[in-house]
Amino acid sequence: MRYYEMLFIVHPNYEQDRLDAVISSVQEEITSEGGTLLKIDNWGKRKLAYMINKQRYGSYVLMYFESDPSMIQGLHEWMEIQAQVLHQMIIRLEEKPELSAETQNPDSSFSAPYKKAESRDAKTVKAPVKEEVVVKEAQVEETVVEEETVVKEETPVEVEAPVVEKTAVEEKAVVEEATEEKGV
Amino acid sequence: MAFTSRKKICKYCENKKNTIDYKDYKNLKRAITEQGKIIPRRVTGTCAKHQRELVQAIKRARNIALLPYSYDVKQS
Repeated sequence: MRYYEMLFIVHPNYEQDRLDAVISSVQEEITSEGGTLLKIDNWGKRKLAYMINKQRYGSYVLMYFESDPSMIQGLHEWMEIQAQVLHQMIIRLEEKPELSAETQNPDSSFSAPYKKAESRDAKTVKAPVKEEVVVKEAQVEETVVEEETVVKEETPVEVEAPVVEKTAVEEKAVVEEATEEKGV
Repeated sequence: MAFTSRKKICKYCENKKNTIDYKDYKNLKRAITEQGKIIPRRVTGTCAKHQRELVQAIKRARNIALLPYSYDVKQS
């Protein structure tokens, strides 16, 4: 018995349940040939480096299994027949693979939806921080307002402005003006 | 001695954590040119042993469409 590693690409039209069905069918094929499956790692859909069967995308699935060397040829031929599998590669491993629970996905952030979600999270995290800054600046404004009535008229406009950075710049300008006027 | 070049050190010998795996295509990208060609070891200074492993990994990654066989430089 030897350890093997198989990476195969499933047609991008197969998603979720149908992808799981494909994976389980491959799994059954391995076990029925007398191999034992050690680990399945689904990388999800990602862009291919070049087109395969006119497809730009594909779902990568990585499998580790242990089997007799004589069965690999049969498995390879069976995989070739499967229409939903675009491409596959079986590699013989010299040692027992490390079967950690975490994915071996080279970049876990490749798929577009995941990336978008991440950026959204980042925005939501950033937003409150900005608000805090605004609050602090507002306090500074108030102190300025106490001293000068002219600035008071400008402050509501700044608060309404949607972009925080701009307001910050304006406020700085206002503060500078105030200090200059104080000096005068 | 105007033509003596500085001694090249194998990146993979230096850092033993740098395992060469075809799945780790992001690190393999450093060993290929803009066009997708494998950079020779006379340029990179990789030792013979690691260059062999590197070449095998790159070829495997190409086979499974993690790396391209060639980049079209005009297109991109």
